Amino acid sequence: MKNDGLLPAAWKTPAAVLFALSILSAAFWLAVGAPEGGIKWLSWRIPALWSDEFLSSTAAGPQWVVNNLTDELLLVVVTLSGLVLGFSRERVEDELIRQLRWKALAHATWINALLFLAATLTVYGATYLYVMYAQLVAFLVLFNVLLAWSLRTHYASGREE
Amino acid sequence: MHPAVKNKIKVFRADKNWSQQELADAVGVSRQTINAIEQGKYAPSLPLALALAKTFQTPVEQLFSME
Repeated sequence: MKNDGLLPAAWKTPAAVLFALSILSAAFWLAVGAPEGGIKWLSWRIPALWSDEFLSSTAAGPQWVVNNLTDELLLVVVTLSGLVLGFSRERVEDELIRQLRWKALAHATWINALLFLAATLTVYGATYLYVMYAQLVAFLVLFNVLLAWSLRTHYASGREE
Repeated sequence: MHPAVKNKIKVFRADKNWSQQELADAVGVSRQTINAIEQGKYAPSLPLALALAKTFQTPVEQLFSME
C-alpha cells in the first residue's frame, strides 16, 4: 500500500475525544494553574538530556532530575491526539478530501504565524510566556478546527439531484 | 489561474440512469465529490477524470472541456 502519511479512519474518533479532553485540561491548566504544580504521583526522578535552573547558569547539561510530569504528559497527549485526528483518513478518502486537508493545513500555518507575530509585537513581560505555551498547541487546534469545519461543509453540501 | 473546466457528468449520469452515489462507488470517491464536480465547484485530477470517462465508456474530452 502506498504510504501517504495518513492513519486508519478508526483512529479518528478516539483521537478526537482525547484531543478535546486534553485541550480543555491544558486550557484549564493555563487559566487556573494546577494545584501544587501537578498530580503528585507523577513526580519522578528522570533522566534529562539537558536541564538547568531557569535564568541561571548553574547545573546545565545531562543529568537526573526530579520533575512533575503532568504538563509533559498533557503536551504529549495533545500533540499525538491532534496529529492523529488531523491525519486520519475519512471513511471515503478521496482527492477532494485531501485538498480540503491541505487547505486547512495551509490556512492554519498562516493564521498561527500571524497570531504569533501579533503577540510578539504586542505582548511583553511574563504574559509572553503564556503566549509561548499557547503557541505549542495553537497550530494543532487551528488545523483541526479548520479541517472539521471544511469537512462538515463538504458533507452537508449538495443533495442528490 | 486555471480556466474553468466544464463537464457533462450530470448528462451522462442521467443517460445511464445512475445516482451520484452509484457513480461515486464506481470511481471510488464520495457522493459529495461527484456533486462538487457536477456543480463545477471542483475540477477533478487527471486520473479521476480518466476514471470517470472509462466508467461512462466515452473519451475524456467528451466529458470535460475548457470554458
